[in-house]
Formats: sequence, structure tokens, C-alpha cells
Amino acid sequence: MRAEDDVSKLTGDLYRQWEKSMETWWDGVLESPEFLKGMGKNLEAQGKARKSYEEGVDKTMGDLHLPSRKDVIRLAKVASMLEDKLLSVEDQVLAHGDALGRIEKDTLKARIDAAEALVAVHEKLGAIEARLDRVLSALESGDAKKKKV
Amino acid sequence: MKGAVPDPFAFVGALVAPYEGLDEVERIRRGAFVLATAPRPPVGQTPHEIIHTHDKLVVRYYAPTGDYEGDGDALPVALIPSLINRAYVLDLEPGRSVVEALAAKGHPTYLVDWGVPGPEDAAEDVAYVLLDLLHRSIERICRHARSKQAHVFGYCQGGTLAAMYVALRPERVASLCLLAAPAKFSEGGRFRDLVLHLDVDEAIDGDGLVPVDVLKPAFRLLDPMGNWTKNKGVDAASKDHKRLASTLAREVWLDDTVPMTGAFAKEFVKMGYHEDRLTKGTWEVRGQPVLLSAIACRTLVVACDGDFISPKEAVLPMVDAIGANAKSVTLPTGHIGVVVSSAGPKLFYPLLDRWFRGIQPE
Repeated sequence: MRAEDDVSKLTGDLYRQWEKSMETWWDGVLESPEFLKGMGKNLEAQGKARKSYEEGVDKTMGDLHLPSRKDVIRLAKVASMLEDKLLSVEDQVLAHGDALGRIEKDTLKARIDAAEALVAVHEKLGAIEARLDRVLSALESGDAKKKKV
Repeated sequence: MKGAVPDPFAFVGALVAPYEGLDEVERIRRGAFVLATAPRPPVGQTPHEIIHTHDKLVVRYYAPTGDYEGDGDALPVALIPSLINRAYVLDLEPGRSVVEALAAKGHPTYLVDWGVPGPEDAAEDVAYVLLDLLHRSIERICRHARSKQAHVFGYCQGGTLAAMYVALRPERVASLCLLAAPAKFSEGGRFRDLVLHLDVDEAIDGDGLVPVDVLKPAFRLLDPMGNWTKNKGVDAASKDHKRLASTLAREVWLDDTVPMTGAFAKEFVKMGYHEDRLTKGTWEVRGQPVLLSAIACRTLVVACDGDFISPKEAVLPMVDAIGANAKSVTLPTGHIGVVVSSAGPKLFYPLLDRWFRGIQPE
């Protein structure tokens, strides 16, 4: 084996060992309650710092008689609430639209039924009229026979 | 696709090539360089139309492009992603897109894109998300599809929310598929460890947002060495234009974290990760308990073997909590890979299509 191969193997082993030990180290860190508690505290501190910074900026903007972030957020909230209301109205309009659609469908069906019933009545009346005509003509022919007798 | 900027240290590669470990470090350096300089590919390209908007939420409709192979008419499919990531993970790039795959199989597909909340949305809690935003979206989807019911698919936190929604408002849901959706938060792995010691009332401002610069490092801590070794994959992919585009598309998404509203984050961490209330049935939304056992529709719970964000130990208890109408499948892939790697088109998309056609998994 050449010396270069030995060095290559050595650097390869070193790298793999380093990667493995880093993984173990990270696992240890992320499972350690002290680290996790510290991270929690750090987040809390970050949150507080951000809040106090925002309050400070808001105060300065207020002192300068300029709209602050809070004012802009308040306006945006109003816009959101208006949108919510608008959507509720839209829901109702759509529900009314559905109801009207159903009424229209029912009305159309009723009109078709009525038209069909009218046709049937007309047919029945036609048949009755034809029968009456026949009865009338029979009666008339009977009268004529009686007169002859 | 190489980096847009020439690599000033390109010569180092030839010097360290004969030495194993140094060569690996060089590959990581090259990968990191490509990642820092290569232009990002476009994402979310599947043609769609917007059918509903509500505040920052947008519902996108992907019309079927193929024939439906199931019985009867295809019901609409509503896709619900997580609130802390961008919705385009379900439409990352052509060929790696859940919406494209479902539309190609004849499903009228709808993606609920939560959008990016602003400080004015800070008070939006779990109830608002479920009973206002999501409920109205499902109603509008059914109306648009002229259908009484829809199939619902939820991914990650979106899956947990979908299950909670169906438990509260089951009328409109024909069947449910939950992918990598945590139910038993006490088994939530490293993410649970990270938030367990958090005093949510102190750390999260209920009147503000949980900013991206807090969420991103938290996600990076889930797999610290992964942030280092992934550069090797980028370097390997940089030799192939298509592979690099896929890798970069995934990076675009990973880097595009969304802030969470304070009220939602507080409730989700407290009720979920701290008190593990979902499987116990003690999580209340506007006074109504969320009982997973109330989910009466066909439900498929999909877990992933290599998932360290929602470990299968946290996902699979959803089946027992729902009951006899729930089935489970475990796929040999990871949390993100299941939708954006080759496992998506090979394993997961066909599974989803079959489930929504009423076919039971093998």
C-alpha cells in the first residue's frame, strides 16, 4: 500500500469519526434538559425583548403624532372583521340563492304538472263533448222518428 | 444547473480528491456553494383557478385532466396542508405534485392554502381555523363541485386539524386520509422535546405572531447534522439539471417557513404537546370536545418509517382513537420525501388515488 493511500484512509477515518461524534454530541445536547430549559428561557427573553421594543417604537410614533404599528394592526383587524361579515352575508345570499333555486325548480315542476293536467282536462272535456254530441244526435234522431210516427 | 456565480474555490477539489475525508468536506463545501448561489426554480405551477378567499386563505381548484376510474362521479378532494409551511409542498414541481397527480386521475382537486398571517391575525385560534376558515372552505368546495360531500386529505399538522374538523363537523366529509399527522403528541419525538420545557404563556405572545426567525432554527434543530450532510446530496445532484432543480425546489419550500399566530401556537403547543389532549378527548373547541371516535367516515392513516418530525409512534395512535373505520399504512420513506421525493409518484400518489376511489389498501 502506498503512503498516499494510508493518508487517504486516515483522513477518511478521521472525518467519519468526527461526523459520528458530532451526531452523538448533538443528540446529547438536544436530549439534555438543561439545554432545552435554556432554549425555552431564551425564547421567553426574545419574546419579551421584541414586545418591549415594539412598545417603545409605538410610544415614539405616538409622541410624533404618527400612526403606530398598533394603529395599522387595528385598522387591518377592522378590515378582517368587515370581510368576515361580508362572507357571512355572502353565505346567507348563497343559501337564499339555493332556496330560490329550489323554489324555482318546484315552481317549474308545478307548472309542468299543471300544464299536463290542463291537457288531460282538455282531452277529457273533448271526450265528454263528443259523447254529448253523440247523445244529442241520438236524441234528435229519436225525436224525428217520433214525429214521423 | 450550476451556481450562477463561478466557484472561486473550485481548484480545491482537485487538491483534496485523493484524500477520503477531505474530499467529503470539499463535496459539502461545493454543495453549500451551489445552495447559496444557484437560482431557485419556480414552484406551484399546476394550472388552477381561485374559487374562494377568506382573509389570507385561498382555495385553489385544479380541474381534472384525466378520466376518473372509480364508480359513479368523482367527489371533490380537499387538501389541507400544515399552517406553518407553504401549501405549495403539495404542488412542488411537475411530476412531484399531489394536486397534479390527483387531477390526472380525474379527481376535482382543491388546495386549501392558508397563506401568510399578519399581525392583525394574531388572535386567530384553533377554533377560528377549524370552524370559520376550514368549515367555510369545505362548504365552498362542495358548492363549487356541486356535491354534497368531499374527500379530505390532511398533511402533517394539516392532518391533525383535518381529523379535528371531521370530529366536529362530519356532515360534509365522505372519507379522510391523514398523512404524517400527529395524534399522540407525547410520542412527538424531538419536536416535542423542544417545546416541552417552553412556558408558552411567557414565550408566546398571544397578541402577536411566532416569527419565522424562531420557527426556522427550531426546525433546523430537529436534525442538526442533516443540515451539514444534505450539502453532499446537493453536490451530487448538481451534475444533473433535473435532479438539482428538484433538490432546489425542496430547499425553496424548506426555507419558506410561515409565522404562526400567537393564539393558535399557544393552544396547539399547550393542548397538544404539553397536555396530549387529542387522543384523550379532552381538547375543547368553542366548548365542544373534539372526540376522534366521532369520525364515522372511512379513514386512512399514513405514517412514514423515517419520519422524525411526526414519528409513527405519534401518528398511528390516531387509528385506535378513531376506531373500526380507520386503517393504517406505513410507508418506507420520510416526512417530506413522502410527497416530494420519488416515493410520492411511486407509492403515495397511487395510494391516495385508490383510497379516494373507495379501494382499501393492501
